[in-house]
Amino acid sequence: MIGRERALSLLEQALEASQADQTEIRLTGADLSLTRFAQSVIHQNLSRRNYELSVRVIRGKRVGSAVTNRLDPASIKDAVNQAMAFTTYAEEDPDFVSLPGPAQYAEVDNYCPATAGYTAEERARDVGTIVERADREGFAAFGSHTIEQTEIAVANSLGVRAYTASASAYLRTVISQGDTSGYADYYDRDVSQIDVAALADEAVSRCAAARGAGPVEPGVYEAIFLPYAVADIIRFPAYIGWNGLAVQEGRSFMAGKFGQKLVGENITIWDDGLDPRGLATPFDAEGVPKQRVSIINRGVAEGVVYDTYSANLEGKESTGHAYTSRWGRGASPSNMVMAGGDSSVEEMIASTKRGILVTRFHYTHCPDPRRVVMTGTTRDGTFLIEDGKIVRPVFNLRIEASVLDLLSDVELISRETKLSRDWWGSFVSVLPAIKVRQCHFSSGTDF
Amino acid sequence: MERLVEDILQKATQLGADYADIRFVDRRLESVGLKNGKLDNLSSTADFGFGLRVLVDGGWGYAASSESTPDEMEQVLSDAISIGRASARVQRQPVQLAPVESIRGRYRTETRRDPGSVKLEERLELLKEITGALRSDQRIAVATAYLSQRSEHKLFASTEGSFITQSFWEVGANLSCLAREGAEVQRRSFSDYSQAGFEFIEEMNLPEQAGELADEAIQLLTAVSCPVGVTDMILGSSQLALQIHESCGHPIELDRVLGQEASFAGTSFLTTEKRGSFQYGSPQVTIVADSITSGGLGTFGWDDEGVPAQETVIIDQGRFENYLMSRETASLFGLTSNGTVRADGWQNIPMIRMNNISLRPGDWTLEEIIRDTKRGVLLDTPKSWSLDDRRLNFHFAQEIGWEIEDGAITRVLKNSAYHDMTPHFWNACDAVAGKDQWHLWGLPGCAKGEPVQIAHVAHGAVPARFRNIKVGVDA
Repeated sequence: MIGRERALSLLEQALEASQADQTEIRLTGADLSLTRFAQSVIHQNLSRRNYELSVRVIRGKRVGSAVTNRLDPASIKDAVNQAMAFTTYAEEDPDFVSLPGPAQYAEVDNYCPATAGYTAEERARDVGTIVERADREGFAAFGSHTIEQTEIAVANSLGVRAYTASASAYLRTVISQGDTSGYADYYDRDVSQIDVAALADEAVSRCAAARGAGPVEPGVYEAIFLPYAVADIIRFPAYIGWNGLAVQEGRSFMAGKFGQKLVGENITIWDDGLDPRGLATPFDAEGVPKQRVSIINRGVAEGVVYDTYSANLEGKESTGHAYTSRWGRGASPSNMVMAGGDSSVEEMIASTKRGILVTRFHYTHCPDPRRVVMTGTTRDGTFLIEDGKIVRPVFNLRIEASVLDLLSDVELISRETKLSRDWWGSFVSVLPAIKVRQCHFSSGTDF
Repeated sequence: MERLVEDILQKATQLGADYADIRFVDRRLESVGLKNGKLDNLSSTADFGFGLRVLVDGGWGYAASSESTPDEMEQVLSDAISIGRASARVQRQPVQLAPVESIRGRYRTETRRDPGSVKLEERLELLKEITGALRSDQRIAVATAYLSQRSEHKLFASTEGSFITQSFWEVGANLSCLAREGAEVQRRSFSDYSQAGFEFIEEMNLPEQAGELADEAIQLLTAVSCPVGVTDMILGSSQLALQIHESCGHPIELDRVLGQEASFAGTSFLTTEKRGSFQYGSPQVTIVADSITSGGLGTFGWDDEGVPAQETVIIDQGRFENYLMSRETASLFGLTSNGTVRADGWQNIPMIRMNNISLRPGDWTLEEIIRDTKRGVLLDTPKSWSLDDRRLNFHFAQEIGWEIEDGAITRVLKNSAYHDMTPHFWNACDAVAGKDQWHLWGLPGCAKGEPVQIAHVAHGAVPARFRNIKVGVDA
């Protein structure tokens, strides 16, 4: 951690080196510590520190950019000069209007000293707790324990001066015995909120319940998705369709649908970078304050997120969702929230005639972006429900279904929500469990 | 530098490390791209740092920093030792390393035209020509073309006496066009990368390829969907390259087999008792792993443990023979490493990664395979890919397909896909095209590990036929 003063001082130094009409400098610092464990032993364990300075300069309407992770004065000047040199090759972009101007930022409590100071010894102790709980049942423990501190500072020649420091903790485990496995994870700004024993018990009990799995015919079933699985369901509409550039280019399924019913009336999804239940942060990569954006409101397509460039194309204001200030890359949702309902997973199970309960998905992808078809296989706890009860664990299944169809057919939504990450780590969102009336599982596995 | 490195390794030993190695990595990436005729990206990235790996009390510790001042190096060493001791708290047996000869050596990419000497104006002119060809029809809504070049200088030294420097050049191109008419949207793309000089870009004839992509994207707007059913399927070499990557390259990583990626990337169905006996594919299927093929993104002098580049037969006429191994995983089976450990930059732990995993060519031609196919589909260019956590059940979608009737291509197919189980799929292979149609594809985006590391790998592939495969998007 270099702190606000030094971070902003480095940005000033870079701004002074630029002769451009407009200049933007961003400093991103990350101090990452990560312990991985497998077969109940720690097999990888690291810490790393890196600071990266990004330069974007504009001359007229010509843009150039450069990035360096060397922060000595000469290297910073080299990066600025490199970006300046690039502008001489660029043609004018008539759609470029301006970098964003100065703004006020909300106070966000996203730096927890206890998280930042968490040591390798403490991570090893937590892993030991999980291993011990797995050992009691004759299971093996796998997973990772991540502590991350980040600093982001943004300054531009129009007066933006933004700085934030944050910390987060993410612990996850797969508990396994032979072909059987169970999963649990927890994400929080405050590492002390992670109840390691409870997390281990959740995964151990899921692994125990999954023992003796057998095949089930692929086909159409009622389906209950825990929040871990819902994270992969909303991943595809989020990255394919919920940004302004995708709509402008006609790639998004939202194009031409604003104000129209897109999914079920019980579905409401928004993005709120200031919601303390998520990984709150006050501004985006351009230093624009985070705005709350309603994406789906009671099933109606309502909005998408913007960075400065894509917002300017429609004469709008940026919503504070630039994920990088690299030229022309658009924006991305970052802190999604799906409204909870009035049900529980237990009530969902009790209401199911014949269905599948999915803990989570693996390696999801989207073979048809226009219909937002998702495919991927279930893992770490898939169960068959009959007549309101879980009757047995089943081998993993491949889902092949349109997300828009799934979200049009949601019967129940849990009251409780959970901060959940999809398998790839694209988004960390506040999500409930959901039950859908029909879900297509196209094939199975033998484990 | 050599004295600095020796000092820090000596200190590591004094602080209790049984083994230590250090890597300095200096990377420069320059990327330029046009979108719809406008500059979309013109940027350079400089990334430098070092990572220190130690084995203390039988546990691994790794620490890394972008600063390499003497004080920071001491701090990083101290961190690595502490982390190693913490790892040792949760161990069953101490980590052992298979032996390797200490090496003092150098490696350098051979180039005919130094990418660093190619002026930006020349690259921009080429990109304008490419995007012009991509936008040959007004129904092309978005056309993009990018060129990138990356240099990497790497120094590796270990307490066992190795001291290795390696310098690499990688270049590549990525073209894409999105055709739109009414509600229909279809995409065609092409990308390829090589460890080479700028001659690789010149020899790809990208403007001509761009024109073909645009034509195909327009054809897709009015194409019929790939039927859902079971049929004979021919894969083009770019699709087969990804198939090799996902259903062979990843399952043969011994760390995955041992569960070390279970919580993220998954494990493997190729469990250790299968080595030497499992019928992975048909006799037409021979797959090798190597780090020696010229131009391969997985080609090097030594891996990031100082193990020399070599070739290993993975699948021999259908039978599974060997894994990709590290020194640690090889030692568990009394073997030596076959040199497939790499780290993504200075900031990541070295781990088992694919090098060049390639299908050996057969003796058909694509034209002969098509003529020999009564009814089927020819599919190419990956659009989506998904596999279960053991790499058995897979689903791949493609940008384009063609229907085959009575030994001839009859029409273009959109929204194609196929899915199967890995051993069934490779055992269904009955025709493999020959060396004239073999191509080494560069894939610079192989993800694995936590935090995610991106490896640059290559796959040699040819068109090949697979009998009775389930095709079509069934949703």
